[in-house]
Amino acid sequence: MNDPEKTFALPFKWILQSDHSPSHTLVKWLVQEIDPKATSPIDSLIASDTPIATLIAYKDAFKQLRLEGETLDDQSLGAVYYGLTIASSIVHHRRRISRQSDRALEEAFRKIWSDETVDLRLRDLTWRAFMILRTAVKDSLPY
Amino acid sequence: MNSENENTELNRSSNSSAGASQTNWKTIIDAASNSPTAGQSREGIARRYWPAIHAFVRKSGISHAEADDVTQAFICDVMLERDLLARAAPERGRFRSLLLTSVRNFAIDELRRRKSPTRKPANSNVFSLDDDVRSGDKNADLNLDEPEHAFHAQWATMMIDQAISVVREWAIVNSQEVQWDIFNRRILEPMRTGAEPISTETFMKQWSLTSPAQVANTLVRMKRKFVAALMEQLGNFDDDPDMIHREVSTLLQALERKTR
Repeated sequence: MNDPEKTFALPFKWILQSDHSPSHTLVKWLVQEIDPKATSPIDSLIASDTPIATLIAYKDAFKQLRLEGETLDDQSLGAVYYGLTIASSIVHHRRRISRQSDRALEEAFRKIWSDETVDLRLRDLTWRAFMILRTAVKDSLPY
Repeated sequence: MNSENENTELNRSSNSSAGASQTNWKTIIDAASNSPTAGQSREGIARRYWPAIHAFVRKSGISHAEADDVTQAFICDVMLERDLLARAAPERGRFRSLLLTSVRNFAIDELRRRKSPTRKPANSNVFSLDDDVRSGDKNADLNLDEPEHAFHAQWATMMIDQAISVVREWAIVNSQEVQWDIFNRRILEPMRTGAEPISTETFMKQWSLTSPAQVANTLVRMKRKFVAALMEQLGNFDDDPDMIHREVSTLLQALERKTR
């Protein structure tokens, strides 16, 4: 039988952090797991002061989600956020955190930019990253 | 670390809250019946709700030593003899609310009886009040705010404990011991005991993981399973997802208040 006086040391706030879809909730938790101060994936990616190390950690986590997500929705969202993280590093740090070619990145950014289910602020991020790549000398952005 | 098949069992069960709900109400209905399994169902229900009833009784001003007896008296007199279970029905609303109302009425009756010397049994050693309650104005309204919060918090604790058991069982059956260990020592144990969360680096070293991303993804996947299991527990008494969400919110608020 349970101890009647038993309690918990910490609240379970994260349980109520459900988003508009289970996959989005997963992404939110993933971001907060890497950076406990993060308020949302969108805020973290559009903020210019998110450290490059944090973006790299996000990218690795989203890459794994893309490859090993439990559902197709998880995998698709993992792929989108993987691309968004790379876009964020290009826009805010002028650095690439992926070894993929400019062409492959441009194609990924174009795909996200044209996806109307993605938040407008994030689509704008990919547009800016796309333009930076387009105007830079080919494959010249430092890794 | 991942396989869709591994998750099939929990996902299937978490998507069947309606079935689970029927099963749980069946237990209550069975307990109120004369079926051969009624005794077993009654015992199961009494065991399950004892902590929440006890928490209410304890916070009502009854001493720790007597709280066991009073709780048992409620279970025997009200839940069983007065057929509380027979009055419970899915269409009448939450079992938790029915139980709370009954415990509240029982506690008020008992506390008032104790304050009235003429009504107090001459040889009663079961119900005696703590000094603070005994010395109070017998006409004063009883403040049952704290007992009710204790009841809700204990109910939430019970639900969380059961959800933890479900996830642990799932992990064992599906050979996900590593995932369980990471979730338990990073999330659950710190929440339950205040223990320091184990670092990502420690997990990577212990379980030969190659990147922090593996730990992070394991944690969020296990969180999702835990939430699914918790919702299923709550779905035992509510089928409406919005109601379940509100129920989670209410119960977690009770827990937060308790942990402050």
